[in-house]
Formats: sequence, structure tokens, C-alpha cells
Amino acid sequence: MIRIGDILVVLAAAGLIGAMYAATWQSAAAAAEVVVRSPRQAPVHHDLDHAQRLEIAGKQGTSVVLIESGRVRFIQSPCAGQYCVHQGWLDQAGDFAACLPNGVSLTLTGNGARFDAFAY
Amino acid sequence: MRLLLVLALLLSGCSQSPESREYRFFAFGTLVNLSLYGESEDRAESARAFTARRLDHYHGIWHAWQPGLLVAINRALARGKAITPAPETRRLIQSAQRYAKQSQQLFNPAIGRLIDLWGFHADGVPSGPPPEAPAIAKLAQENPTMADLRWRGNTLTSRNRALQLDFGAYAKGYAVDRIVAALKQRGFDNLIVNAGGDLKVLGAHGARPWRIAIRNPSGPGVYASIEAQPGDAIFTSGDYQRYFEFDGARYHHLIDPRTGYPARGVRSVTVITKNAALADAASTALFIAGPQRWPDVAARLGVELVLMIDTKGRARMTPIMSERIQFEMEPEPEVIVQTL
Repeated sequence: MIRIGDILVVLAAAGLIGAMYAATWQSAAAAAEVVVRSPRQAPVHHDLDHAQRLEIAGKQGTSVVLIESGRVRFIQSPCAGQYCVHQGWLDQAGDFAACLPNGVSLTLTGNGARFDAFAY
Repeated sequence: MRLLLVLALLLSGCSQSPESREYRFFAFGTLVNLSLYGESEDRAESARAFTARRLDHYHGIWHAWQPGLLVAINRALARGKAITPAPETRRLIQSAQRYAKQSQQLFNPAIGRLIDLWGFHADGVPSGPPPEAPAIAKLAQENPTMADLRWRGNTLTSRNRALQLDFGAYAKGYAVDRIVAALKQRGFDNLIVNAGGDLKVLGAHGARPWRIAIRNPSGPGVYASIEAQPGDAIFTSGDYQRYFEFDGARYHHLIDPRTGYPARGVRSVTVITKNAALADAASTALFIAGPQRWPDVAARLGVELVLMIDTKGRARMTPIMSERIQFEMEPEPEVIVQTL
């Protein structure tokens, strides 16, 4: 026989799960790291905690990448189209940007990425 | 007893899901993502190698300007000669003819010469200036369309010497369909093949659907999100994909075959349907159809899930698309629901 106490226990457990979900899922969508891929070296991981300026050698020349407080972007690249630069700041775990002509890509990683793929 | 119930409820929220693996590589002239759910590392790696190989294969044979099967076909047709394309190329051309006809030739892969004139038959970005108006007018007036192609059995001729095939708006979708079908035959049931932002999914991410973000076409961040249903292809045509700027104006690669100039009024069109080749053709046709006419063309093509972002930033969409997508930007854009 189900008593009021049982119902309260179930509600409390459900509420606890909900609170844990909210605490870990939403905030975890922010990226923790960027993985830089370029033609002549193995992938390099950088955390996004402190500001950095990266100069990355690619097929056409040097791509310049800025990291600051949880976000990253291409700021300069030798490509004609500048699409990589136009992408602007990235901060979502799972998102990425690439300079195709220069062969350089940035991939953001972190727990609880909100999206499996990006359409554009 | 009650303690066990609480523990069971708490632990059920923490269950580990089997691994999903993601690969990123260059193929088909773009950055490709392959996501696989529930596969061993060996199986996933074999899927990656297969996908990369097949994408490069299709990219090579159907390239619009580098030597390959398509360039050879175009050369023959321009000389008034007959040619017998390889079977898969024949199927590409014939399926494109059907969609071109349904779209009232707004999806028009026969205008290769115009695309070349604007400088888009080269890697990278044209430097401008735009072509001279008389040159554009001449090519537009010659009006090559897929209806100019004649089949006698498997042999092809063209009745219009201005016709030049360019499947930039179609080959990727067609290739993605073929590759996903082959992966499914090989027993891969849950995946995303994403070729430069155009994607097709099978299955799901375990118990939940694959979650897709639609990038903001006008700046950084995510514009909207959607849960993909198994078999969904999601393709986008945008004025930001290939373009050059000259004297303060933007000239993009989605040429309106009726005018010979880039289509106006639209920033992007995203189409969702189960056939990636159709999604590819439709996103182009609807972009060119523009903000008023796109519902008519969508109905003719049989696509029901459409999101168009116009140059004023308004989100135009079908009723069922408005139920499927969730905006991710603040403030939300102005929405115009247009019925087919």
C-alpha cells in the first residue's frame, strides 16, 4: 500500500535529480578546452582559462588565434576568404572553426556539449 | 526499503551511456564531421576511412572545374557531341533534371558558365570586380537549363551550346545519401555525416535524438536548435558561404539563373527532408525563389520543413518547422509563418 511518506520520498528524489541535472548540464555546455589541429604537428590542447595568443603554422602561412575567458577565435589568417575570422568567438563545447586553405582547425571540448552537430 | 528506492532513483539519473565517437577530417573540399554512436573503435575507424574515401571519390569525379568525369561531359556537350556518362553520373544528372523541373528551373545546375564568369570556379575567393553587365546578360539570355539535355538510351546530348553542368548545389547531397546508405548496409545504425555544415543522420544518440545546432548566419553563436529524426537530412544555402565584397557590395555564389546575378533578399535557407540530394537542391531553389515565392516552390518540390532567414533578419518558416525548432538567440527574431 502506498502511503504519503512514499510519495514524498519519490518527489524528493526527483527534485534532487532535477537539481543535479540543472547544476551540471546547463553550466557544462561551456567549453573547457580548445584542440588546435594543423598540418605539421599532432593536435595541441589549450585550456580556455587564461588569455593566450597562438600563432599556428599552416599550409599558406600563420593563423593567429586568441583565447580569453572561456572563448576562442581566429583573429588573422592568410586565406583569401577570411571565413574563419568571420566565424567570430566560439564558446560552446562541441563547436569548431576551421581555416580550410591553411589547414588549421579549432575544436572546443568540454563536458555536456549541448549539440551533436552544427548546421551552417 | 524506502532508502533503496531513493538510491535507485538517484542512481538511475547517473547511468553511463555507451561511447559516441567523433571524427573530424578534410574531404570533399570541406571540413567533415562523422559522429557514431554505440560502435567499437575498430568499427568506427572503418566507417571513418570509408566515408573519407567515398567523399573524395565523388568530389573528384563530379568536380565542376578540375579534370574529371563532369568536365569531360561538359567539353563534349559544348562541342555538340554525344557522350555516354558512367551509370552513377547518369543517375546524378537524371535525378537533378527531375528536381530542376519541379523547381521550375530555379534549381539549375546547367549554368556553370555563369558561375565561372562570377569567379566561383576557383578555390578560394574571387577578388572582384563583378563581371561586366553585357557578359552577364548574354549568358542569362542563352538560358541553359536541364531541360536542354536529351537522352537517347544512356547517351546524352545538349540542344543548347551554352549549357555547362555544375553540381555545386547538388553533388554533396547526392554523395551524402549514397554514403549514408552504404554505411547503413554495413550495419552502422546511429550516425551523423556532416560535410561542411550539411548533414544527414541515422538513428539517434542512444535514448535521445541527435541534437543539431543551426549557426547564426550573421555572426557568432547558435541561432536555433532542432532534434533530428532518424533519416533527416539538414542542408543550408547561405550568402555567407562563398562570396566576395567589392565597393561595399556583397556578391555571393547563389546565382539567379533568370537574371544572371546573385539572388537578393535572403541570408540563408535550411531545408530538412529525408533525401539529402533533394535537401541540397531545395535549399538552393528556395534561396533563389526569395521571401515571397519560396512556399510555392517548396510545395512543388515536396519539402515541408523550411527555415529562411531574410536579409532583414526575419525567420520565415513552414508551420511544422515552427513546431520543430527552438530559437537560441536573445532576443528571438521576428517570425513569419508561411503556409505552402
